[in-house]
Amino acid sequence: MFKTKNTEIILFTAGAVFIQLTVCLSGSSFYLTQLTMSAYYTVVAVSLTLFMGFSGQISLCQGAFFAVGGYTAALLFKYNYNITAGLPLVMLVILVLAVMLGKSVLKLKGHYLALATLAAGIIIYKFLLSSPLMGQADGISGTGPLTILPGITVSSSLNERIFNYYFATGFMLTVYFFLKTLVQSPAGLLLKAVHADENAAEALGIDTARIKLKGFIIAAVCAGLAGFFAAHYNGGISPSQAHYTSSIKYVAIVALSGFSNLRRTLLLGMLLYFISLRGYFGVFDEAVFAVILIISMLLNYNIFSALRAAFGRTGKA
Amino acid sequence: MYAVVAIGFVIIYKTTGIINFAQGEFVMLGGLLSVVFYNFMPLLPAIVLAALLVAVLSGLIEYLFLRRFRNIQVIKMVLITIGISILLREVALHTWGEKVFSLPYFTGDQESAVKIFNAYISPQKVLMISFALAAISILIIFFNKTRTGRAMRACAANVTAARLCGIPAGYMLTVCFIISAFLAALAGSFMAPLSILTYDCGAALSIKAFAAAALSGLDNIAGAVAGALFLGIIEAYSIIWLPSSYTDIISLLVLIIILIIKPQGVFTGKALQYLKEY
Repeated sequence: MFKTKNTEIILFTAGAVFIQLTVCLSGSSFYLTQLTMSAYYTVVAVSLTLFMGFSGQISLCQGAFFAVGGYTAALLFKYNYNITAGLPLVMLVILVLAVMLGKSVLKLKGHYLALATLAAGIIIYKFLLSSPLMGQADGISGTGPLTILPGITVSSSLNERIFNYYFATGFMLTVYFFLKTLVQSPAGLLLKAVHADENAAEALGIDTARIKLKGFIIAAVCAGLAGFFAAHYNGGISPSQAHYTSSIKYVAIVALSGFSNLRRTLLLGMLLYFISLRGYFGVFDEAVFAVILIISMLLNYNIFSALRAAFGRTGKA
Repeated sequence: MYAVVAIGFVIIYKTTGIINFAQGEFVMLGGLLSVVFYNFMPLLPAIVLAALLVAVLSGLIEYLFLRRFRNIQVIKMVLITIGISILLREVALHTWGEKVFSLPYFTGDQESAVKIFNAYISPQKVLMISFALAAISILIIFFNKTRTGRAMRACAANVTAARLCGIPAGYMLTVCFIISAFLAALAGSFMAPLSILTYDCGAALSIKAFAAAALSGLDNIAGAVAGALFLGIIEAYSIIWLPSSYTDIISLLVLIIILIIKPQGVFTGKALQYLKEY
């Protein structure tokens, strides 16, 4: 669709600016709050695409990484540690967690992998839910602003809503283009090789375990960073972020986008999370995502190729 | 309690190679429906009717969603059953709300106890255990002696070969979904007096029952029961040295550790290990 990556960068940036201007000029700048959060959630979905779509694995604990990132931010703030040093620290925490988890469960396949990651996610959720240090069911609130530059902060302050919107979308687009570059790089080809045929990849001398682990770690770190910023933006974090239904939401979006399409995940993620956060799904929120998941599984591969087939045009599959 | 749900997993996995993540939701539905029916009719028909309904529902789900996906990637099956489980949970939430339900004790009440050797035990627990034992023995006989049971095992071993022998594989799968959901729903009714039923009790149950089934390598009914007992004991003892809110973490850790160290199950012999893919 886009000739070069540069056009895509320009178009997406223009789109982000356009949305901001429309929303602000139409006097409904409160939409920006949800848009900002959608951007953070979309980062998680996009990073999951890398792991699920390109290396063909399954991970049902992506939400847990988001939560762990958020909790790290909240804890650091609570104990008055230097918050600007938090960024490398949060990456380190997620890295250690992802390596521990990845090293142990990624050698499993199919059902077993799904279960192990699901169980891991629930363990993290239950741990957050039952530790007094983590505020139990209430989570941790009162997480203050994260100063990026003097006077500019990631926070829930209304005055800085526009900056926060740009920060979140900027972060999202950075992750997106980073992953896009990665997928087209030799490393991305290795991931795809693992997806296509793990045994064949192994026979060619590719260290499949290592490649899978790398994909898992990158996805986890992106999700953790999103959680880190989101906790500062929301002024807190709650354990429900780690609940497996939040992880399934990410999976639903990835599935709806056809698993290995970063751009679609980005756009659909923004759209669906915005609708969901605005509360249009009401009490049926989780049910809607479950239906999305089932439908996108039932249709062969994804809704887009199904539509294309229905209208008699040949899709690129 | 876990044992019966674990058996459900084993039956489906044995025949189809699918792990049904919605199994715990069938337990929840069975329990809740029997509470509903109990308002209109005596206890026994209420339970049976609830179990039958859930069994039909499960058969429908298999027929509508899973049947057309023979031999496709595991990832889709997993996601579909997870989606179904969330959907069922939401349906239950909107039907019954967040209230807590329970059934009366089948015989006696909370205080009454049966003396077995030197231990006192609630009659409901005796019923539960005998139900589990009965279900297990019937299933073992069913899988080993009857034509249908053998046909199911044939499907599990090799679907194509089973088809060539004239076994209607699709039909077998539906039957096995129905049986396992029926059992799960019955288990839900039996445990209803002992523990509370809410719309979201299914997920925890499924994953713990799965842990129990995984202990035995997923295809061994007797092993699944042993695994369930082992898990129950570990959970009970973990309360001694950890706060009770951590019990779930313990059983899930057991699951992960087993999957990592011995995915083929603790009770499986060496020879079998090489035949399966993990």
